[in-house]
Amino acid sequence: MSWDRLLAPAATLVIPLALVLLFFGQAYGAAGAVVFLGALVLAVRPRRARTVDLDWVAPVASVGCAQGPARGSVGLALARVETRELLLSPWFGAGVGFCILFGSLGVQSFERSWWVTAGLMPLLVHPLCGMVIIATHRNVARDHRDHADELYDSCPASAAQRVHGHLLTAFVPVVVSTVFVTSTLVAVAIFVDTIYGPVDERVFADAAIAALLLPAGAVALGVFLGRRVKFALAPFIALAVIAILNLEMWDRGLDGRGWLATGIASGGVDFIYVAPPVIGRLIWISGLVVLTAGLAFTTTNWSRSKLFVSVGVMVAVIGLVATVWPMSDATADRLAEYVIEPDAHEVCERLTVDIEVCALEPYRDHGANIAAYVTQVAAAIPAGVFDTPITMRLLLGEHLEQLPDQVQQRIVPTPIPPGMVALPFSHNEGSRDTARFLLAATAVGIPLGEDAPENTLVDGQARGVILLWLATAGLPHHEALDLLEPDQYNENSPSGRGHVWPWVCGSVPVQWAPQDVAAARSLVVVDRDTVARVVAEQWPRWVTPDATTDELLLAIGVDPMGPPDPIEPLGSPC
Amino acid sequence: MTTTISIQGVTKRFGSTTAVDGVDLQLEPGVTGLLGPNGAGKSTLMRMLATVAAPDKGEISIFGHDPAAPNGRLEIRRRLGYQPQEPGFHQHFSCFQFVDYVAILKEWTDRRVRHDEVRRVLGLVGLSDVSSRRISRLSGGMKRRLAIAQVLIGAPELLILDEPTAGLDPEQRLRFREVLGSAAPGATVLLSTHQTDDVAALCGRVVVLLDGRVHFDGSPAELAAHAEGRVWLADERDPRASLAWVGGDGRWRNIGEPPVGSDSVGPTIEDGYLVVAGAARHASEPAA
Repeated sequence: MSWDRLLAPAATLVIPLALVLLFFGQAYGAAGAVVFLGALVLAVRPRRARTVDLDWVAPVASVGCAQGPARGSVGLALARVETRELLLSPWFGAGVGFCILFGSLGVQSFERSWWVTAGLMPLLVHPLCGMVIIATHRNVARDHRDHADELYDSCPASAAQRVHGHLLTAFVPVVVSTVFVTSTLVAVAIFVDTIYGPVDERVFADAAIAALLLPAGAVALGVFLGRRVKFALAPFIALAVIAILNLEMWDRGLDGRGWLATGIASGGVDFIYVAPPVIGRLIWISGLVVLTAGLAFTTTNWSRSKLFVSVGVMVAVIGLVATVWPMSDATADRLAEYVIEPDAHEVCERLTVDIEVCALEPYRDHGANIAAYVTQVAAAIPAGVFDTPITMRLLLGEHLEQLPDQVQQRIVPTPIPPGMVALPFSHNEGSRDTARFLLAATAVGIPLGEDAPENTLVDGQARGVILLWLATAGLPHHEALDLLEPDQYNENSPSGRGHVWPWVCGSVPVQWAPQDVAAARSLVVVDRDTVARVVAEQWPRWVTPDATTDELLLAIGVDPMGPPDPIEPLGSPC
Repeated sequence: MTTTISIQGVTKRFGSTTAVDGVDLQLEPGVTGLLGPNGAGKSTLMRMLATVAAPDKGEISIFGHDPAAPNGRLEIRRRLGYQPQEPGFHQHFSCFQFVDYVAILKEWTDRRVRHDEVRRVLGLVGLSDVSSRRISRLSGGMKRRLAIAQVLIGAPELLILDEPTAGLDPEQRLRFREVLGSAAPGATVLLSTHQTDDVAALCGRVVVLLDGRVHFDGSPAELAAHAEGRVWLADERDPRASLAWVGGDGRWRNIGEPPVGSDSVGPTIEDGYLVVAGAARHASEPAA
């Protein structure tokens, strides 16, 4: 095999990685652009080679004819050739490149439950499947494109055997996808200690759909299109149609027809509030794969096609019905109660007399992790400061319209009652820090939740500094200082330099002046008991907006910071 | 002698054009040349015999099998080697990969045995040294030889070759004749060509197809005999000649009705073919 045949697929494999470098590589963006352009040129360059001639001087008939053809599986023998062609296809290379790209994003980006993580897998293999559809279509239409079909039609191998050979190449993308899905999930299991929730049939079903069914279906669709629509743009049109259908189904929400999409985008609502038709989806997508494979055989081998199409239609219809079948009343009741009466399904951990952390039972380990992280903050809050007990819990938020219709019908929207603090569903450094800030903000009486102002300005206020001091409770000095490191958001303005709320896109509930942040950082190095005593002794005074940062600092014995710089509301930074 | 191919009243139309018009032929083992101008229906007839096109009318029997029946078609294809007029190549395949692919389509599923056979046929056409070279890097002549190589896989009993020597230089054509003679002994070969000297060298029988009809069916000598006494040499073009050209010796070779006392010469197959073609054209012209 000549090296230049490998060059194009290798180059296309590099393209997605170069794009990442270009858009996200910051300092390496220029290098990414160069690599991208180079790879693009190598991938699409015309390979017009020098021709050679050779005298016909070989001795004739020096070798006798080998023994006649064996009646083995022609399809299997063809599959070896087509496998080679698929592996060398630049399109397939690009598909593998997408998998490498997603794999290189790092397992830390999977920061939610197993249900959400596994639910992403079908979506993440879609680029691979799209490229496989194009590559397979080009392989199948190769005979027609190169005008070799007349010669091949005169051979005893039937068109059905050729289709068979192409379909057998499905194992290639299946292996790639299986490696991608398995390695990703295993890496998450090993390296993401905050992954939470059950590993159950939902996880395995999504992994099976991503690793096995979708890539196999992509090959079947590529073969079908290659046989019936040899037009070179046909696979691209098919991809556009699939994308449009998926988007249309996503608009249905995570309900009924929405689950018919080949890849599910979770949107804003967590998968704990929905009831995916696990078996139904498996059957539905299996049916689509068999049906597409059957359609690929039409006009080549009608009896086999009839069998495949019949089985495919039957399975797909069963899957379709099972997928869109309304959920049981018991399930709808349970999901509705997750929203309106979560305490009936929660596992709670009490941190202090007034504070508890609760999580819906399937996510109990997430609740436990968060509780462990905020327990020191809870302990630092003086006793008796809350009028009502505080419950930190997972809340649906503003995604009511994304719930299944049957669940929505059971819910009457009500404002979040006082004393409720929303826990984030994501579990990363930022979300853990957010939990600390939320609890501390609640303690000092800063309004949060739906009715709270978008940005509460606490510039020059002692309660803002106490919030920050509480949020650092239990952290080593360097981690506490890191937590109070202003975000790089608009660092040239006082508002930017005072922005230390953990980066949660769409929300900056509290804003400080740079002097407040500096004050809090100076308190980190002061004896914690001293600060705690001063804060506790005059708590009612400090948590009023009138108490200033400098008054607090002087009470503790720290040099005052001076008047705060005026700040502007940041709004929503995303 | 056993009849390999029997064609009776075969007609093939493309819209209002009749490409093959009621052809009757019986072909036996040996090399049969198919002569005719472009558009005479040679390729269409060969495509029907190669089972890739079906006749609109008439019957074809090959090895006693009906190509219209799936099983019959399969049996025919298992004993057939076909080279289309314009064999398509996958330019990124190597020579070996291309012939190997065709061998698979010919049901050579045992990998080791198949590879031996591929090497054998590549050796026959002298492409062993470039077997790993991509087809896009081959000259036109080498591509023709590659097309011939795939025909020879499994030493088929029936070879249908549509202009196999087009694009081959004189030496390569001689090599082709050698290969055909030695690699397909006892086979039935139907060879379409514009090269009358190939017909003379290879064919025991020649069929002239004009406007979709058979206008001559006989030996090359019989074809040449059609021009017996109708070819003469002169120092200038004879106005009575229907066709004339200057030979290498500077004298005009005239074909037609010779004048009395002309310098007659022995006819060639080409002369015979031109006479047959001229007569057919004359017959088809409307009376003045």
